[in-house]
Amino acid sequence: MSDVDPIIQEFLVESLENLEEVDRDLVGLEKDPENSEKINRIFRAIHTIKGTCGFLEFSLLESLAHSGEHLLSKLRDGKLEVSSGTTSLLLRLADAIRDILKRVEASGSDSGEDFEELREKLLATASRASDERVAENINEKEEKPDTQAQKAVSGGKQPKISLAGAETEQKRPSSEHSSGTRLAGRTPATSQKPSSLNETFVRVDVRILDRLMNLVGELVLTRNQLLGSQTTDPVEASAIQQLNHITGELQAGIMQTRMQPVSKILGRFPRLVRDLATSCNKKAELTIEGQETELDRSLIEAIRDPLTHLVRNAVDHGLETPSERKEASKPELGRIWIRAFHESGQVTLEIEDDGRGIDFEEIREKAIEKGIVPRSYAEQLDRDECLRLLFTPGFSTSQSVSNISGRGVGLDVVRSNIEKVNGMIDLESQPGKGTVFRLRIPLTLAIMPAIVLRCAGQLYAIPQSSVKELVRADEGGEGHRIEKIHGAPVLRLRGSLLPLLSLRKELQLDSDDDPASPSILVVQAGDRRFGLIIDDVEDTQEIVVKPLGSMLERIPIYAGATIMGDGKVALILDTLGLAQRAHVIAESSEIRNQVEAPVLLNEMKEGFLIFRSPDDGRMAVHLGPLIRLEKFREEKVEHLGGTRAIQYRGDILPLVPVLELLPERRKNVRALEKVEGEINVAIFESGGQTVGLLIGPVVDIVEEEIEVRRPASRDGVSQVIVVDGRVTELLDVDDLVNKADLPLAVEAPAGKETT
Amino acid sequence: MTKTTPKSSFATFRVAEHLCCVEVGEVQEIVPLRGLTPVPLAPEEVLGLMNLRGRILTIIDLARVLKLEDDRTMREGTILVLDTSRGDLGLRVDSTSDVLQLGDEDFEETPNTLKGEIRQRIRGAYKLKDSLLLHLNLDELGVTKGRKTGEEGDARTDH
Repeated sequence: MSDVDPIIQEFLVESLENLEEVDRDLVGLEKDPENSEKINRIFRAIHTIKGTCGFLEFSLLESLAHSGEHLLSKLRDGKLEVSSGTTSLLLRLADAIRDILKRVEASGSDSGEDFEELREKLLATASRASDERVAENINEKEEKPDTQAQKAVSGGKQPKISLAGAETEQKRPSSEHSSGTRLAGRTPATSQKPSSLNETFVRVDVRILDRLMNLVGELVLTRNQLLGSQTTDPVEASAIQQLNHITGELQAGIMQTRMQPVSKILGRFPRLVRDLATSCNKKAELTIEGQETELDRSLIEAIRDPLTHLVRNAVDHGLETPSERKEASKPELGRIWIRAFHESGQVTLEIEDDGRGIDFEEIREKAIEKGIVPRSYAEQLDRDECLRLLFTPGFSTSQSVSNISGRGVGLDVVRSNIEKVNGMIDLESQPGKGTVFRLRIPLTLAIMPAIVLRCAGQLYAIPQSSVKELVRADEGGEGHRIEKIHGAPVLRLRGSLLPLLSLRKELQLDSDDDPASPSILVVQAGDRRFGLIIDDVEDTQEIVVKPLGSMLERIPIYAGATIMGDGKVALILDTLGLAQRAHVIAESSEIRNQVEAPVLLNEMKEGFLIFRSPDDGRMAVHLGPLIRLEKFREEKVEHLGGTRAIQYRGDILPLVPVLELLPERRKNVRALEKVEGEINVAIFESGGQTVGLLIGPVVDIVEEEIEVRRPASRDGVSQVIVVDGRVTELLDVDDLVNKADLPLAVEAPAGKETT
Repeated sequence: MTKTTPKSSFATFRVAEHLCCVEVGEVQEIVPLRGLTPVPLAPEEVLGLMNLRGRILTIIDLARVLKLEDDRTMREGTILVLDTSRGDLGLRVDSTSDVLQLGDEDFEETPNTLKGEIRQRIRGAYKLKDSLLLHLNLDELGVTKGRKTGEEGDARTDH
């Protein structure tokens, strides 16, 4: 890029920008063929390119642009009607010019493929018009609305010759004559900009903005240091307050200078939608709202591809064919909306279509069929969770692979691209009505909220957006405990297993034994969650992201570095990199299989712990939330008010006397609870606490497909089922724990959703 | 070797028993080593990161670059902030010494017997009266050949 002549550079930038406008106008023109303003704009853009080419001696491009201009002038003068044929031809012209411009950028010259066929077609189409009409009265064109002519010539109907003289150069209508084009070719490209713009806008080198942003980042850090200093001097304190405010405003101001409207990337979508719809025989109309919404320039680039993908999807998969739409009594014209707006400090982008929507049951089946999730798991998912399966790698709902989308790289890529910039993606869909994809993008990447954590004496930062929850694990067994499967640590969290990574081990720190009561950050990386074992969370704060030098940038687990309030450098962890390095992403499904294997020999089977109830009855609990089955000596049971409890792994485990809690059976239950002085305790996690269920003698642990289910017989029972050939009451553990009204009820776990 | 050629200025510094130099123009500034943040999984030459007035500087240890005997607990020394083709780099040395004016007549290419990475990291030596002055090749200091830093397990064992 840097070795290209600055004049050519400017020409390239400007021409590409203009071409985007051309695309937009051409598509608009199809709907509104009489709009002379649009024709004029297109004409001027092509004309400017042609003119500058003549100046820069890109003869190939010049002659191509000239033939386009020729056709456009016929359209403008009303000698030819705007039709989809001419529009397609002109769109092809725009593409060809773009190709040549790219060639110029790469090689500095326009030689190469000459698009001769296109050029001839353009000329042929234009001359068809000339043949038909050129002989007609030359003044006739004045009857067509021609804003240029009206603007430039007060007299209205005048012969063409005098028009040319009165026109400003770039609006020269006579340029279809070769003598005119030569002259116009020398027109400087910039002269068409209204002069008033030059007074209110200044072109600034992006590097200067980046540098300013950097310096503001420094200022933010210095301010943070001062804010932390806790001075007692009132004068100093108020000065610091003042500094605080000014820094905040300065930061906002500088950030604003780097903002660009999303129209920069949305501009090409009308054309994209048109082309796609045509190629898959659909009718589609795109409405864009909130073009002026602004986003940091680095983010604008980052969301370009994901947005394109989603819009393609909307046309290709979302919208039905016109005949299908008719059947569904919808208008034939499918509609797509792109909306951009600010919402709670982020930019939200919505891509909506009024197409067939997504059938979440179909997603569920497909996910099971493709082995993405086990059936038992899939069946628990609600509607929204099913839809989110779409973001799983390897998932593509398209029935057949088309050339537009459905090439196997699907929404998972979109999702990971969005998450790379700390954004979020979600979708809503109503079968038959349509689908909305919603992207939430931070305003800037340079400064972001982060969680500062401690590990082996060092501070690390992790983007807050990727941390879902904070959980404290205790060896004692209160709430959450780290367990191992084949040596791999896992955590039970609300009934499912979360693979754990030890940050110390991943970083290969010398002291790689984890602390006795570590904190666990529940982290989202791509579509996976995992727990990161750390020493402790230090703080949350806004950090300024700085790149690592060339020696370190290849280490995938760091996203950069930042400077803390005390002036020390802290590394920023990249959750995706960490997960990949530790193979959590690949392995988590394996872990799940290992755990669920005994339960899920057949996917339809459920696991139960069966124990005896009085009168040789049978009761069962689901194995899912069961942590452990223990036997204790009766003497170990201690009394605490009305409840019994037992000391277990350094903590107090409250006991829930299941059989006593169930109505009408209180007579001989005590006898059942203990066998030879021992009691059976099933340890469960329920409502965020660990409790022991005092149960009768264990009969068996079975996995079975339940065929007969009946509603509950009494309180505390969720269902009556036939398992192992016997009628069995399936207990509702949560309900029983509630009933027990434990005085020890521990607070809900330390972590809470931090979305 | 009889002709005198124009002389250039070299900043010299010591690490272990060696005297090394780079061209004066390549040194942006010299600062004391302080507030180092270690980078787990980094190539072994990297001591850590330092905050230089808001810039984050990767600090590499000359002793490790030259594969000298190394005391890993060493946390003192002086940092030469260098302007290399791969960005700014902080080079930790034991101490800085004089600026010398040296000409090509004192220069000798790295002897062929010196093999491996070290050979690339040294341009050659100036023959001083009582010792040899190693001229470092800055462009190679930050490059670790054939190593994917930290991507495959233990960065310390491969080379």
